[in-house]
Amino acid sequence: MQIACPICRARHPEGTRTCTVCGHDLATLHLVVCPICGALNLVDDERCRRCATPLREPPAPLTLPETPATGPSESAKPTISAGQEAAQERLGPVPESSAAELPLGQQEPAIPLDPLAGLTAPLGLARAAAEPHRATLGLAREPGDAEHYDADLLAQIAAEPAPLTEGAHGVTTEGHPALPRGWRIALYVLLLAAALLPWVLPGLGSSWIQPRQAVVALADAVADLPAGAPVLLVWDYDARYAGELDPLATALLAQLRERQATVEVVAMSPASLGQAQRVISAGWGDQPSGPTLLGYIPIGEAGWRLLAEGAPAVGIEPVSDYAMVVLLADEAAAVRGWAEQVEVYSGVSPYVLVTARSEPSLWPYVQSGQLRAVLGGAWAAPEFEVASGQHADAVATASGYLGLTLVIAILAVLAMLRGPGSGPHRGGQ
Amino acid sequence: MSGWAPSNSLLTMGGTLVALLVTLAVLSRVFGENVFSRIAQYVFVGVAAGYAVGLAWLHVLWPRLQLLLADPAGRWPTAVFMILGVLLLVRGVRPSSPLGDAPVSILLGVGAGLALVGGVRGTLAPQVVSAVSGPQTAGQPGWLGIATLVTMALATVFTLAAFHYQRRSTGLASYVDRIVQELGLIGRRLIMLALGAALAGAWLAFFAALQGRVGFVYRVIANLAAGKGLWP
Amino acid sequence: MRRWLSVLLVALTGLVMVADGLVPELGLGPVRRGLVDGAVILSAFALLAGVLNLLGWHLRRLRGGEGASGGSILLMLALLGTATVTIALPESGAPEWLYAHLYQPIQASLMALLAFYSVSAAYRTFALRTADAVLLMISAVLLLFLQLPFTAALLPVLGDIRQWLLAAPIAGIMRGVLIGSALGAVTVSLRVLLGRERPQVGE
Repeated sequence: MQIACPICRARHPEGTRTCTVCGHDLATLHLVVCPICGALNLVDDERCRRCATPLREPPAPLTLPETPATGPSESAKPTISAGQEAAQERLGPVPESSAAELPLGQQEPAIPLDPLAGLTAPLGLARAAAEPHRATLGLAREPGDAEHYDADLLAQIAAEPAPLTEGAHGVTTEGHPALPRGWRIALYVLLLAAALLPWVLPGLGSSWIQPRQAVVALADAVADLPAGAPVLLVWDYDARYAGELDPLATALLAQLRERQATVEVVAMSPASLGQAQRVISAGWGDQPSGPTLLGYIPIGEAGWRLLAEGAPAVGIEPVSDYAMVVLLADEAAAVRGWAEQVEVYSGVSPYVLVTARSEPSLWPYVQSGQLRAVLGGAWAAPEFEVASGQHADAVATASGYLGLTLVIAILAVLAMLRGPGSGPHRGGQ
Repeated sequence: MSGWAPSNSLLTMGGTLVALLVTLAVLSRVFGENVFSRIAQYVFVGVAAGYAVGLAWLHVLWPRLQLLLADPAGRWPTAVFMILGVLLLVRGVRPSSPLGDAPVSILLGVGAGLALVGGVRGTLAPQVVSAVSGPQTAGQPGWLGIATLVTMALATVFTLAAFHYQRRSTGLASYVDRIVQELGLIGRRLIMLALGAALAGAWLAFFAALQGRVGFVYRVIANLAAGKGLWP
Repeated sequence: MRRWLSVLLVALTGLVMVADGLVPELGLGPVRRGLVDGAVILSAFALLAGVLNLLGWHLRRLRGGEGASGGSILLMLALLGTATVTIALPESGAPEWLYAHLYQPIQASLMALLAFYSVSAAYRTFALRTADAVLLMISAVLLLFLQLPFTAALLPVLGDIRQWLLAAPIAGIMRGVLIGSALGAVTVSLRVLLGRERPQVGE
């Protein structure tokens, strides 16, 4: 019997431990291929979901003894597999002499088998049976790839729940012109130079930084906090976005420290907790007055819901107990989790510090009043430093974004000038 | 340019060296797949998984286990979920084991139930209400307020039309379907505009990460060159 | 039987959540709170199960003698070492050291690589010069420029344009996307609760 990989559907002989196509561990989980119709079945299925062939016992062919000379010709020795047996069972009763009804232990019957016994008289088939004919029951053929494909398709339609991917489009780079090698190297070098720019010329253009309204509002809100006011930071970004969000988090923590706020931090993933510890440690060192790390709650709907109403037994108070709540997140989905599981039940609208990538998708929540403001880390960090009277890392490194804009502008011009048909493009990355 | 407070100089210097080496190993991937970047990736997966296990134990399981041990009768639901959790571990060894069905079913039920209510009460209802009532345009000149209202409403309608799928229909329904399909074409273009905004944000995020790593390498090398030692 | 028990359990727990979320007066709050805390415990166990699976996979890989076994050894050592240190010595500073000097630099550097790859990928898309590609390019370059913290100082009207673009057309489009995806999420949740999707038994 064959087995199939549940990931890529590749077929393998039974006993194969690893899929040779995708590397999936077949010893742990695999599908069973029906030997008759090729449909895919779960390991626990006793019969094929499509043709009802028993899958538990090996479908060894049941070879019947030769028929007498009056029967079909030599080539017509019927070979009935367990699957055909099951199919016959489903189709209805068969003549008493049929091998399909023989128990497995009696595979060699003493009485010669006549497939037409008992039927010739009522159906008037004696003459036809006596004459040689071409209609023979051939040996069962192993299904080919085409049959497997059809069987899979049918099995999917018949047995599997409809996937919600209808209308989805696959994205391939087929036909997309690649960046020529020389240009690619040049752009990479320019990108590196842009990243190094603030370290070579720190503070370049810092006098031009003008905080926008939402940033000023956050800075003012922190400035208005009374000393000792409880503030909750919900930390849900890890090292991937540390470059973008760390400067903003550091600037916010610095201002909260200045206001002598009582800051508590709860993380929504292990890596977020590590990142929060790192930023706090950089700002506060080992001072006892620093923010309290409440721990980490596994993210997901349940995690957000737990945060909404708190879990005092494990040291997490309800979010409504805080004077200010700030959510630092790297994904729009996390902020959506807040809107759907926390804001709905607690009515708390937080300030959201998020990656610039996720910022646009969160504007509707600001307009519906579910979030107080959404600030993109890349631009908000230097603006917040200016608005809160600090001039630290973010202001000093903001000029790098000017360099990035320049590189992207060059890239856009290059793409417009060297589109398809204007020369060889392939061979690059 | 803040960094770690060097509480223990040897550990910090050793750590700086390790961080420098792994940063260079990963960034060397830009020249193509190589053994150093692969080593860094294996180490990363191991450290990330080990760290997650440690924190899951320290911050989620251990505190609840302590509460359970202190008051077993009053905390019996925690005991039930702990037992279910242990059954779930069987799935880590044998994913097809039926022993893990119950805990996974509870996780799914809780997640789906919360997502269903949250989706309706937290996104669908507020967004539809906000779309109908229009955005806050106070403080804007009259013509700009109207332009904002109209633009937002049209953008939402066109975008929703882009998500529209319908079976072949006849009569009046087919006309409506055709109109919605045409609107959907405009909606797809509009989604491209919004994706452009997200792409700009992604460039900024990736670049900020690059700037952070390049800055770290620059500072370490500058400190070394100035004879200050291995400090970030 | 196995399948139907699972479907029943999903439906039952989901029903409690839905009923309590829509009609809080039903008094299901304590049950819901218990289930939510239980789900948090199970999430932590699910994470452990995932790590066990990862360990098992690499152990089998080592036993099977398939290539790159050195990587598997390295991964398992890093995993077991970090887990042991984090659990056994939480106050020693060692977990923070591991995070700050191994985890953080590697993860941040992997992200930094995307700066290079995104440039290549953007070129591939823009160079197609189709209407969609040109629209994407104009929008991305324009928003990148407008989002810079220096833009408003160059020309105050640019700040107003940025604000309007984000608050009107882009928020409108994103609202459409949000409503569409919320409908999708609600549909999937309903299918799970009604037993039409049964990922818990591998279906």
